[in-house]
Amino acid sequence: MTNQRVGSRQYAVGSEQMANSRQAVDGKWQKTAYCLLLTAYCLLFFNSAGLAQAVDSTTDFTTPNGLKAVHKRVQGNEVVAIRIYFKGGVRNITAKNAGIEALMWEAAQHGTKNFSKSQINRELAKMGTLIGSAAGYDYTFVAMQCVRQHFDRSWQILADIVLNPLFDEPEVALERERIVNALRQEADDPDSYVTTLSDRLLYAGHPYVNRPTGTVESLSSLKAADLKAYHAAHLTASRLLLVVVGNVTLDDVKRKAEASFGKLPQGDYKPEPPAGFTRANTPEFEISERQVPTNYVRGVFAAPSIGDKDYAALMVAMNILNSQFLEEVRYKRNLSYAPSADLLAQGANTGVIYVTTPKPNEAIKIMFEEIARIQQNVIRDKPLADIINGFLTTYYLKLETNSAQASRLGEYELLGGGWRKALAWLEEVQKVTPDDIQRVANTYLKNFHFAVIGEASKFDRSLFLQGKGGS
Amino acid sequence: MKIKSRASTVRLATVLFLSAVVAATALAKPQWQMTKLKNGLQVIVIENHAVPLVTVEIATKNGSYTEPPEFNGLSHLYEHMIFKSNERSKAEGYLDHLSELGIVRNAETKEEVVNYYATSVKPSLRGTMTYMRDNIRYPLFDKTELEQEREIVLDEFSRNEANPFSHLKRAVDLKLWYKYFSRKNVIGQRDVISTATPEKMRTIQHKFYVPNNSALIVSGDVTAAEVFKLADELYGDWPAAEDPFIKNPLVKHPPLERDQTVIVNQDVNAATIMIGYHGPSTDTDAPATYAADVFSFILNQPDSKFARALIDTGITTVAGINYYTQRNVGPITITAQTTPGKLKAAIAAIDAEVAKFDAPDYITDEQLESAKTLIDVNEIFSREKPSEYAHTVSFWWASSGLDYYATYVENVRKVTRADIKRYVDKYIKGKLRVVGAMLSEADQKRIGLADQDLLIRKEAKAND
Repeated sequence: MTNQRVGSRQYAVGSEQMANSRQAVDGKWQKTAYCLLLTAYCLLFFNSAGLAQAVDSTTDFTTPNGLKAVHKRVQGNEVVAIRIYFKGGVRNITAKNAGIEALMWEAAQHGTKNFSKSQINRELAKMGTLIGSAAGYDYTFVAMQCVRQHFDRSWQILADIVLNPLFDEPEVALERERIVNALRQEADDPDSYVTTLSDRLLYAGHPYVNRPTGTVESLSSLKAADLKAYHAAHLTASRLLLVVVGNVTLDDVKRKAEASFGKLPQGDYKPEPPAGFTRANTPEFEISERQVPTNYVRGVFAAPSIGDKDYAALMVAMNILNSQFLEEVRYKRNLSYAPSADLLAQGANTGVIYVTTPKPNEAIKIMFEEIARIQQNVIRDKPLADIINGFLTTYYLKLETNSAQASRLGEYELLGGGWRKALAWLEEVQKVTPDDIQRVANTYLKNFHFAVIGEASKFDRSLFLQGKGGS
Repeated sequence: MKIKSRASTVRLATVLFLSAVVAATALAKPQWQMTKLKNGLQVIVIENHAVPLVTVEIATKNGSYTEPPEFNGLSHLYEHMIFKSNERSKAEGYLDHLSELGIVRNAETKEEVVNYYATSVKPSLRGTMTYMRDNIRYPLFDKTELEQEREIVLDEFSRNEANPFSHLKRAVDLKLWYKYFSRKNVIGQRDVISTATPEKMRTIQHKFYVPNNSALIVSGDVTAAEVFKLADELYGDWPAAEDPFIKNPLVKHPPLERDQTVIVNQDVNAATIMIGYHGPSTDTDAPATYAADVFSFILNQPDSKFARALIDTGITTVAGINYYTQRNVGPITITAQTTPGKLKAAIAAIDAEVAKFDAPDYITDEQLESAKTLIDVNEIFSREKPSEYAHTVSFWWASSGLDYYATYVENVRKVTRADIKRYVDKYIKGKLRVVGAMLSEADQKRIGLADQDLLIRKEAKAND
């Protein structure tokens, strides 16, 4: 990535050149017909060539004991990507046992009833199969990537990791120490630390305040017996979601799902709608003073989730804002290598503005001016059409791998109102109007919770606390 | 713009190890199609019709390995300037048209290659190839834009400095490449960047940005025929020039004269160990590079003796070895992380493992075979994402040549235990090295760590 610190987003050249977004808000673009036609052509072309095909090849089923699965047949390659989601995320945990699911799924890979640790490692290496896990605010998951040739055996190992982990105390201790050591280092890197600090401000009083990776304190108290008890109490069919993308048949996936998970108790897990952030309407500023070569600034705000009617419009607005930050903060004023605006995909969602800069007051002043610009001006059709063109590219870039497709289907199934909505994303973007963008910019781009790392003398607190708005 | 250099952090080392392995899983039977234009521009097409995207990439043999101290960091600054104004972008309507193409673009600077890439939707192939041509061939290096971009690059420099691991890597590299450090220092020198001029940009352009020192790689939903035709139309009149490496041959990095140590104090909670050796070059010892990758791959598996001795015992929380494939001396790096209290024990434990690296029972036949199977599988994984596979191909084009890459898998398949022993004995076991450690000043005092503690040499005894 040229200018993004996380590497998860890219920006369109047209936007960067700012022939569009700059004039967008000035409302000077008139020649819209051709461009809109081009956009319509692109959407039509790709809807029919790519998206429709995706709809045809994706389906779901539920096992008799209540395990839901989403399956997408992809015949263009030999890779099979699987995700087994464990629903609930931090709503399953407390401050005392925060991080238990992260530790549980990592430790589960250290040996199961039917496969010793050594056997798992050797067999996975022989097949080239990758298994890993991750913990998030709304779910944790165990993921696997293998080639079709080894799907059967890889599935057996994956299923045993999920269903029959041993949790031997020495292995749990090894994994615990590895995670604790990583957590201890979190503050070493200002980039990750400023994320932790700013999230903590917005998430205070919300279940998200208990981090899915836990803390040094919470993890240090977790023993093998805790993992065994947690696993036994929570592993039910209704709490799981299976997503499979690859060149494997629906029948095969059904057979495997029922054979492996068919005996799990159904349970009665029902997803709860995520609570709103209690501090969403209170702008904040917190500084962590440190001698660093440049200052780190991250501001977060409450945003609609991917299932919300405003999500597509705010995503477009944040994309425009990202382009404007680049133009005004980076290219025109040379204040930063990495200004950005981003929208995450969480149940209780978060928008982010970010910059590293030797002159934080100047940079944030410009960034707030740009926010005001899209709040006070209507974006004209031409720039909007160009931005949507950029969306086409990023949309397909995110679908290049089966693993990425599995991730997207799972995300929408769990947080976005169902996997089918993942396939309708381009249509949602296409419907966004200039009025929508102005409206969501005014609704959401306010009440920022800023955490900064750097020299205190370089920050004027009042500049960061502007942008307060009502709920 | 992204600088990719080896192992500036343990995490980065891991990532790059993985990418090296993935990238190294080249094509036993290449699935690309190639042609060379009359001006020497190599054109490579990788067809993949999974999604309606095209990626157009231009790679040039530039980067820190071409930089004397007074140019250190300017390949990277040049990379930033490529996407600024060019002669064509001033034309009326140019930016309008450009913004309609939906291009997502980026660039990277490494030691031996600088690559620029733009991805767009299928109907924009011509527009994207034209856009890349305009950037590469007609940059303006406007003085004001350059002055602005210097500040941006310096902020990137500062961000790099804010990461504690960059200090450990730099400290080890300063000793490992003691005579020609600039040739391995991708991020460069602050003072060189801050005083860069348009004239220096032009010097780089005229020397390196010539078709016979560049490659055009197009991947995605394209056909080779249409790309070859467009390449000839759009790039065919790019005039060839003298091979830049004739007048400016690669420097010869002198071997270490003795073991070196370095202790880096940063405000960190963990202790990190980084041990560097001079490894093989693709130009002079290709067989060792195949053995190096197989050996690294085996040791980085969780069931290897190396991992079991260091990680499963709890002496370290992370441990790995990497060989970074390079035309001009690829480094071999052992990295590990632990708590400060276990640092001395960890160094001794790593040393004890190095002493056994060439023992007949250190790797099993099964591990050797697994490594080869994994290479095939990794190749499948890496080809799945054509927009990134183009970067993989450009890396190998620059650092090994496509013939090397094309036959990589079959050569890896031929690696034997004897080859691995030869590699270990020639480049690692008992060989001069740089041992670096990073921890906080307080922790260093608490555990009483001195340079001498990093010079433990059990492996030398095993070598006697």
